[in-house]
Amino acid sequence: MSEPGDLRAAEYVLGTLPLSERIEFQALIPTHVAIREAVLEWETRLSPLAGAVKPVEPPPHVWDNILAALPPDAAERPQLYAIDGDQTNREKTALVKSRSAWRVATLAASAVAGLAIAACVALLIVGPQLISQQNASQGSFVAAVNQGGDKPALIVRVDMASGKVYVRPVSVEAPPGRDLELWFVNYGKAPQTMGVLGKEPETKKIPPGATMEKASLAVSVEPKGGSSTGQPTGPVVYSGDLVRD
Amino acid sequence: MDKTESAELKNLIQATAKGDRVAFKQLYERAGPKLFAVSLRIIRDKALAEDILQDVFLRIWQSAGSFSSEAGPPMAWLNSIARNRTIDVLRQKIHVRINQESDEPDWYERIMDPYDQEANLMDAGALRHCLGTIEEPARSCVLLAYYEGFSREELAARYDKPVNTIKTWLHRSLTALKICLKDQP
Repeated sequence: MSEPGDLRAAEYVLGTLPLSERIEFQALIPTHVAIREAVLEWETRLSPLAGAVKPVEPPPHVWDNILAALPPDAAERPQLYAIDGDQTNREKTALVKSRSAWRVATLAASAVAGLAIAACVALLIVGPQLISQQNASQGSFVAAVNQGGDKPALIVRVDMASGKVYVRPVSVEAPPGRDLELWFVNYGKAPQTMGVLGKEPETKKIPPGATMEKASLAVSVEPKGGSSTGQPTGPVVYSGDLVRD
Repeated sequence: MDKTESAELKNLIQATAKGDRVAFKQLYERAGPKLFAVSLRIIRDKALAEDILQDVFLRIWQSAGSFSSEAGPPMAWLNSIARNRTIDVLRQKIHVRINQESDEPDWYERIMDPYDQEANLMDAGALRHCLGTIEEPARSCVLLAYYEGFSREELAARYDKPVNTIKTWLHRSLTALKICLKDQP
């Protein structure tokens, strides 16, 4: 790290960089290893100073707010089941166990205060090989996410072989006067819309140019008819990474 | 921060990364009051400091997985999240720092005789020694920036010097600190 660069890191950590320089510098940290290391070194150098600050007990509501903003607890976290395509024989089996080639992405409901939408999204990536196996053997499989014994809200299956995304709303509900919009998020790029979620099952296409590496899907709350800007404007209520074997 | 305490914090952060809420709560109980105090001292607004603390712990929850104990002590990591967030908020708000010298502790004195002396003995000695080699008022500039969130402009006003002089003082002090710390055991 050059000397001016190191001093910028030092002043960033100290907090004396003017706002514009601070913002500019901050933007470099995630992608520049040398800068990140210099910042870490300065943080380590200066942090013993904090020992001289007498702790102050924060009021109890701060912890309550933190707790309320966390994603659902593991105990309340949706149970994942594979439901056989034959709807008459709904024997629940743990998805991960029974269909090890399938991967279910972890879901994180973002901390959106005041938005209580009882919706879950199950995201499945089915590899091309598996598709053919499936086609050869038996009907389709769906995965459902149940939350606390309720019906699943939304089922999303991504078929990478055909580039199709099957979306089946079950009990998904948008807030009054709003729509839910599904987004495909390529890592490091702006989200691409996959359209507003309706009440009926539908097949959507993976947006052109989409790559699966580090991609994710997200659902945002939008005005009726969907975002008019081409980008999510409302809070993202659900998102899940796409994971492949 | 002694080694045991440091190891405990490290364990709590690593458990938090796995979604362990009990560990997260313990982490909050252990580090929350310190981080709240650090933030409050800089931002000087209790409600704002509470919001910042809340935000800081949500960031800790989200990024606990990125904590690497090789990269530095856990308290340095936690403290940086809190200080960075506080300074971000401070710099973005229109901030008028009224004369507050009366309730400003002598930070250098306090470092020499820190609040949590036991915990602090382990790793603050070298820093204290090196700060002692920096002449006043440059040393106070560093300390006021660290503890009270003073900007270059505010320091310039405090010491009635051009901003560039302050910048030079800060750079000289920080460079001297770095060199001095390198020579410490």
